Amino acid sequence: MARHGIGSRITRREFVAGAAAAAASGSLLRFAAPALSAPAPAQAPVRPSAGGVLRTTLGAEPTTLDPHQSRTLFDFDVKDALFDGLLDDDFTEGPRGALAESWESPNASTYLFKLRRGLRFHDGSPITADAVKSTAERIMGPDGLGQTRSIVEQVASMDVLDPQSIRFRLKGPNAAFLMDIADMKIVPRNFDARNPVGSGPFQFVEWVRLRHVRLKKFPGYWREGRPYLDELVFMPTPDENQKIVLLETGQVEFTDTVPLPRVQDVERGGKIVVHSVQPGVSPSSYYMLTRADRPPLNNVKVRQAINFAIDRKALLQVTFGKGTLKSNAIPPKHWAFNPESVSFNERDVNRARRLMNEAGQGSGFSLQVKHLTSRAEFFTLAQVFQANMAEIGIRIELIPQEIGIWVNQVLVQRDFQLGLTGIVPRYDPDAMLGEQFSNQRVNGKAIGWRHDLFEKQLEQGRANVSQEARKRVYYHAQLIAQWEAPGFILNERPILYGAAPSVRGFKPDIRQHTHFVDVWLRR
Amino acid sequence: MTAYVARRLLQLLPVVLLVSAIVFFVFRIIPGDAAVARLGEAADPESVARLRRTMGLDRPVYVQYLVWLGRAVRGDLGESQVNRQGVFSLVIEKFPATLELAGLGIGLSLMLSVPVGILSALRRGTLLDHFTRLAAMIGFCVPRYWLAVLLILFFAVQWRLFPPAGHIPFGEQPLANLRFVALPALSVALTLAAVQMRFLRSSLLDIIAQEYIRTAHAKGLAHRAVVLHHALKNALIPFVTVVGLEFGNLLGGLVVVEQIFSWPGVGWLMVQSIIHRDYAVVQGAVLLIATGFVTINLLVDVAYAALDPRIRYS
Amino acid sequence: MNPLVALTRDRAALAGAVLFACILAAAVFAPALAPYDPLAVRMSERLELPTARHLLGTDELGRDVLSRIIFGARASLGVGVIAVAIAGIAGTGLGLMAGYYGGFPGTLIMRGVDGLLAFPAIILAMALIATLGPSLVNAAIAIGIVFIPSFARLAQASALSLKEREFVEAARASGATDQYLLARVLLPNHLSPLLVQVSVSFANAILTEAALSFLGLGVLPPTPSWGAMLDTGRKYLDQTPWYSVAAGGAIMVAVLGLNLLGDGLRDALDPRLRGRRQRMEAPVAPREISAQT
Repeated sequence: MARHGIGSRITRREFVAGAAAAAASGSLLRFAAPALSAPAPAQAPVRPSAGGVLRTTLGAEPTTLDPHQSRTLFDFDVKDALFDGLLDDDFTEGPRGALAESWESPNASTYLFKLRRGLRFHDGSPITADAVKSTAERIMGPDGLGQTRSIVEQVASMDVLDPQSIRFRLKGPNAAFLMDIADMKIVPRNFDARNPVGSGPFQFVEWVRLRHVRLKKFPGYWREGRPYLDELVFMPTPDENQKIVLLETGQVEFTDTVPLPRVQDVERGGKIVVHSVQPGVSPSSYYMLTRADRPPLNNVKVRQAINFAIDRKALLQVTFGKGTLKSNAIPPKHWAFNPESVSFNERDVNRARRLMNEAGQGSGFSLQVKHLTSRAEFFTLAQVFQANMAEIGIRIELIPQEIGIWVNQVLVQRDFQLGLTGIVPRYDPDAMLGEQFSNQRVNGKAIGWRHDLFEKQLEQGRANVSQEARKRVYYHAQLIAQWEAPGFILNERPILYGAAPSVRGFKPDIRQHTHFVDVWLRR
Repeated sequence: MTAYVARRLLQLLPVVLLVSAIVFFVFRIIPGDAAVARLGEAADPESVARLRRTMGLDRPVYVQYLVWLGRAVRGDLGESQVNRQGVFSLVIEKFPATLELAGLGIGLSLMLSVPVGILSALRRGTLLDHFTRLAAMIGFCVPRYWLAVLLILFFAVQWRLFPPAGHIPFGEQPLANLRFVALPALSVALTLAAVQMRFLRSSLLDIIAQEYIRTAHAKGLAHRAVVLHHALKNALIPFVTVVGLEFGNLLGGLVVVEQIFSWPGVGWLMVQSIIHRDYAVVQGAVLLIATGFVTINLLVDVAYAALDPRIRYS
Repeated sequence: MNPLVALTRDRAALAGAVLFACILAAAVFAPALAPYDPLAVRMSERLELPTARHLLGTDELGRDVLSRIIFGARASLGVGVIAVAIAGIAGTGLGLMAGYYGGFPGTLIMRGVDGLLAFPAIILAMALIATLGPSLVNAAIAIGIVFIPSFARLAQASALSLKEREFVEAARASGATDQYLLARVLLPNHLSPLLVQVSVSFANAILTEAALSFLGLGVLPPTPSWGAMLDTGRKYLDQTPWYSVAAGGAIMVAVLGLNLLGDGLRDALDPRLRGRRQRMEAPVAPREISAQT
C-alpha cells in the first residue's frame, strides 16, 4: 500500500483508490465492521446443545466481583458473565440492546432508554428504571471507582419516566454515550459484593480464593435458551505456560490467552483450537507514552525521529506474527481510519537521523523506558526498541515494573520519560484518540501534550451524531496526532484464546471481553 | 537436660522477635504504595487517601510494627490485600503443597543417598566410589532450577511422560497429584541426595578409620561388620541433624522450584505476594516460616543433645 | 606438607582451578573471546538451533547465545566478588568481635546473625532488591547481606577457640590492645577457614544471583546474565532448548570449579588432614546447604 506522508503529493490513482475504499466502508451501516474472527475450522452447522460445565483459566485472581470496582481485565471476564448493562458492550456490529430493548436520542445530550418487560435479577427481584438510577447513584458514591465514575460523571440528570423508561440528560454532548453506558452494569439497590447479584447469563455460586470462581446458569435470563452452559468456572492461572498444560491435560476447556511462543506449536498439534481476532480491527495496542512536556521529548522532531526509528516489523516478529503492523491509534480497518495521516509502519532510519540532527540532537542522549511485566513479550519488545534507538544515538535504559508501581510512577506521579504498556480503548474513535492523547484523560495527562485544536476536534466529534461529520473531524484529529506523535503505537496487541475442540459458538471480542453467553459444548 | 532445653527456648524468642522486626521494616521501606496498588489506574487521590487511612498506613512506622506484632501474637496476621483472605489461613492453605514437596524430596533423597553413601564408604577407592563422589559433587553444584528445566525438557517436552507444571491436591486425584509432583520432587531429591551422600560418606570414613585403627590391634578383620555397624550408629546422629536442617530450609527455600512448576506452596505464595505487593502476606508467611525454621533447629539441637551428652554443657 | 604443594597434588582441586580459570578468562577477555556482539539484535535470526555460525544458537532477539554466555561471566563474577567482599568483611568482623568480647554484646550480635539466618535467603534478597531496585550492584549487596551469617559464625567459632590459646594469653599479658589482638593475631589465624568459606560462598553467590535473575530481580536487560537466560530460555524450550541448557551449564561449571577448589583448600589447609589421603567434611553451616532454592 502506498505510503502517504504529510507534504507528499497524492497521485490521482492513489486518490481514486482511497476514495473508493472510503466509499465502500462508508456505505455500510453505522459502526459496521468486517468479519472479526479468523476463519474457524470448517464445521458442519450443528444445533447447539444445552448443558455441560466449562472451565476456563483467568490471568490472575480477580480483585473484586463488584462491577463498579473492577479494574483489571480478569475482573472483566467474570463481570461480563454475571452482569448486563443497558446495551451489549460489543459495538462492532452497531449498538445492540441488552436490558434496554430500545432507545432514542433526539440530540447528543439526551438519551432515553426503554427496558424490556419482565426482566429479573438473579435473586428474582424485577429490574426497573429505578434500579438503573440507583446503580448510577451507587457509582457516584464511595463504592464507585475512577473508571466507572467517568461514565456517570457526564450525566447532569436522570429522570425515571415510568417503571420501564429512564432518561439521561448529559452535561455536554457526547455522541459515544451509548458506548459508555454499555459499560455500566446494572445491579439491584441492595447490592453486596460478597454475594453478587446481577442480571447476566450466569449467577454466582462461590468464590474460593486463589482456586476458582464458580457460576451457574441463570434460568431466568432474558435471552431465550441462553446460556447453553450449565456451569462456568474461572480458575486463576497466572503462569502462561501452565494454562496450556491445563488445556492439554483436559483440566480446563478454555484458556484466556495462549503464550505467543507456543502458538505455532499448539496450532500444529491440532488438539487445541486457537481463536484470534482478525488483525487490523481491534483497538488493542502496545502503547508507549512519552513525557512530551520536557526536553528532549518536547521537540516534535525528536518524537518523530523515535517513531521512524522503531522497527515495527521486528516487533511483529516478537509476537510471532500475531497482531499486525500499526502506528496509528485507529486500527487500519476502522471506518474512521485516515490513510493520509503519517504512518510509521515502514522503518526509516535515515529520516530519523535527519530529524535528530534538525532537532539539534545529533549527538544523542539517554532515556529511560519503564515497561510492564504482566506479559512476557513486554521484555522482548522493550529490548528491540532499545536496539532500534541505539542506531540513532539514543541510549535506552530499561526498567521493568509491576503494574501497580508502573501506574503509580507513570500515570499518577508522572515520574517517567517513556512508558510501555498495553491498551484496549473502546471501539469509538473518541475513545481511541482521546484515551491515548487527550490531556483531559489519564494517559494524556501523564504525557502532558497540549494541543487546543486537537481537543476542539475531539469535542466536535463527541457533539456530532452523523458518522460522516464525525469521520471528517477525526480525519483531522489523526493528521494532528500522527504528526505530533505524543505517544507511539507499537503494533496491535494480539488477542488470542485457546479452546478444546468441543467448545463451540465462541467469538473473540476485539476488546478482549470474553463472552460465554453463546458458547456450548459439543459432546 | 531440661536446663538445656530451657536455655535454647529462651534463645529462640529474641531470634523470632528479630526476624519479625526485619521482615516488617524491610517490607515497609519498599517503594510503591500498597493503596495505589489496590486501586490502580485512574484512582483519584481522595480514594487513595481514604484507603491508606483504612489500611493504617498513615501512622508512624514503629507504631504500625507494634500493632502488627501485637496482633500476630494473637494469631491475627492480617488480611491479604489482594483478596481479603486471612494471611494465616492463606499460608496454612498453601502449606501442605510445600510439605508434600519437601517431604517427598527428602524421602526420595534418603532412599538414594543412604545406601549409596554407605556403599561408597565401604568400597573406598574403587571405581564405584570415585563415580559416586563425582556424581555427588556434580549434584551438589548443579543449580536446582537448571536440573528442573532439564527434567522438564526431557520428561515433559520430549517424551511427554510428565506434565511440565501444575498441581492437583492429593485429596482430589491422588494419581494425578503424583504425576505433577514427580518432576519437582526429583529435582529437589537429587540435589539433596548429593549433599547427604558427601556428608554421610565422609563422616562414616572418619569414624571407621578411628575404630578400625583401635580394633585392628585388638581383634581381627572378621569384626569389620561390627565396626561398620558401630560406625553407622555414630555417623547417623550428625547425619540426622543435617537432614533436619535441610528440611527446615526447604520449608522456606523452595521458592524457585515452586515457581518453575507452578507448584502452589508457601514459596510460590511469597513470590506472588511480593509481585502483587501484598506485603501483609509476605510478612506473615516469613514470620511463620522463620518460626518453623527456628523451632526445627531447636528440635534438632535437643535431639542431638539427648543422644550426645557432651553437647549439653557447651 | 606445604599447603600449596598439597593443593597442586590434589587432582580434583586442580580441575576446579582450571574450570574457574576458564570462567575468569571468559569474564576478563570476553570481548576477544566472543564471536559476536552480545547485544546485537537480529530479528531475522531469532531462536535458531546451533549451527556453524552460531555454535549455541540464538536467543529470542537473534543474539548469539555463546557470546552472551561468555559475557555473562562478568555479571556472575562481578556479583560474586562484591557479595563475598561484603559478607566476608562484615561477617568476619562481627563474628570475631562477638567471639572475642563475648558477654552481652557478643550474644546480641550472634542473635542478630541467627535472626538473619532464620530468614529465608531468597525472600530476604528479593525484599532487599525490591527496596533498592534491580541492578547488578544491588543484587550483590543483597546477597552479601544474606551471606553475612556464614562468615560471622565461622569467625566467632574461630575467635572462641583461639582466644584461649597460649600465644593469645601471652600477647595480652604483654599489653596488647584488643584491636591489635583482633587484627594482628586472631584474623591471620582465621585465614584458613576464611579462605575456604570464601570459595564456597562465592559459588553460592553465583547460584543465588542466578536465582534472582531467574526471578527477574538481577541485572537488567540487555546485560547478559546466566540466570536470566535460563529463565527466558524456558519459554522457548520448543524452539531451542540450547538457550536454557547452555546458561545453566555455565552456572554449573563456575560453581563446580569453585567448590572443587574449596574442597581442595580445606584439605590442604586443615592441619589434621595433612598426611591423610581422605577427604573430610567440616561441619557445614546451614546456609551452604540452602544455597539451593
